Amino acid sequence: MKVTYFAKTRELIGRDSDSFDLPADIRSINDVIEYLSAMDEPYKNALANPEALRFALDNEMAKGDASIQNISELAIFPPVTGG
Amino acid sequence: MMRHIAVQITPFDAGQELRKFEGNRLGAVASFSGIVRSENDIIALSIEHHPIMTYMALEKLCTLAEQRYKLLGVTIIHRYGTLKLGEPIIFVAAASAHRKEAMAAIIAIMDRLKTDVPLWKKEIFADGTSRWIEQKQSDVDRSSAW
Repeated sequence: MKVTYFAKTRELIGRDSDSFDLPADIRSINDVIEYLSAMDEPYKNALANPEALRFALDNEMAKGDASIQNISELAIFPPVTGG
Repeated sequence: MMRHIAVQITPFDAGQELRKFEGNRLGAVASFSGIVRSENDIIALSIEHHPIMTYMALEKLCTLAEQRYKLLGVTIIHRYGTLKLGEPIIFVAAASAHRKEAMAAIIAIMDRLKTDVPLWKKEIFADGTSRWIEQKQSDVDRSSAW
């Protein structure tokens, strides 16, 4: 699965996307966040407060408990501040 | 129904955008321009967008506003990239038969845009440092009002 990062999340992680072969027991966005947080410091820091993050699955906004089955891209970013 | 949406790096001419509504037998056209303002030693804003979702979210916003306020035309242009003080960030125009709907639509579109459209602003300061702007609770409250 491709994971893309935007704004402050992208800066903290230090890259704009990753591609992962996720283990079969990773089923929801929350599972992915937990998996990424265990990787190394930048991921842990960027994802430390999932409540303050927003997610999209294949370009549609989604909640943390949403299933990632048949999803090709997860986007992770902070609450938006346009206008 | 006239609809124009753009997410672009280049500047826009608000006057030119407004003139596009002329001659369309509309009773009212209201508009809003957002500009980079001088505050806390800011010299520029850096605006990040999502290559697909930003446009999609603006389309959804237009559809909502068109239906709710009986709009006859709507324009939303949002820039991204590095914008210096005084540069235009956003332009929104709404056309309808009467002023009330056009003006209400502008306020609603701006309120919703601040919470629903994937765009992120970073302040760039004179000393070379920068800071991501955080979403305000007041913006969330205003957006959920309509």
